[in-house]
Amino acid sequence: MKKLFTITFLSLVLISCSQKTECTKQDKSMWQDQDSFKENLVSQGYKIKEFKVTEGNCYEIYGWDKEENKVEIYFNPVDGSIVKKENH
Amino acid sequence: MQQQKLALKFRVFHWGVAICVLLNAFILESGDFLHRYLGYFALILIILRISFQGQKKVTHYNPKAKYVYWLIWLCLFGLALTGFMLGLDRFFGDSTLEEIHEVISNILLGLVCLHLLGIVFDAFQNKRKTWMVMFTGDKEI
Ligand code: HEM
Repeated sequence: MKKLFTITFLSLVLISCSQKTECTKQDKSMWQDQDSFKENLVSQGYKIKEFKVTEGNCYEIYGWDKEENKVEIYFNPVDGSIVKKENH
Repeated sequence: MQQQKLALKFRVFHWGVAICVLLNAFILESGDFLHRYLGYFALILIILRISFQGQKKVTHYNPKAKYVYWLIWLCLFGLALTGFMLGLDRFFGDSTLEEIHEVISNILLGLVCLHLLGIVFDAFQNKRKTWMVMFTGDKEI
């Protein structure tokens, strides 16, 4: 029984380490308009291949930055700041 | 009764793959640097593991379990392939392919549940600690 509890506890600890990126807790009404958000990025030199709204309340893009790096970036949809950037 | 030993390398590969699968499915975010490289690492483990198959000298407790194992391996290949493709310019961030990658991952997790249920079932039915094979390598047939 003790073993079972230990295993359950360890599994819960592990699952709670889940690294899903969260970008904001603010209401959707506070979020930037998706089209103007994208246009703004394009005018900064980004090339957007895919745009997604993630479960963690982020605006996420797959594409290329102005230095032509292939990037996946999670943005805060309220203030537009970069929360996480992955180079591919 | 016959004593058999599952060689250490099979146990190491088993747990190596299991850890990669669990980390990628539940801990690491899809698309992460670590997620991608663990995926390729698992692929290498699986290829090596399958190439060793002929050296495996233990008998299955339940011969039907091998279909589950082959399906698990198939899913792992499918995940590596779709994961690799998601990194290509052509499919970078592609929603459809991402969905396929996710469906395969869910099938894999379903198969793992089946695998674990099979082990628990065998343990009850035959009153033995079936799972210990993968820890100590000792098997009584
Ligand atoms: C993501 C998790 C897992 C995956 C993908 C997986 C996959 C596999 C595969 C492909 C095999 C057959 C080939 C081999 O010998 O390596 C296998 C066998 C085995 N696994 Fe797992 N496994 C997982 C988790 C576990 C766990 C948590 C346990 C222990 C509770 C376990 C116990 C065993 C045992 C005892 C066998 C040998 C059964 C027999 O002799 O027929 N596995 N597993």
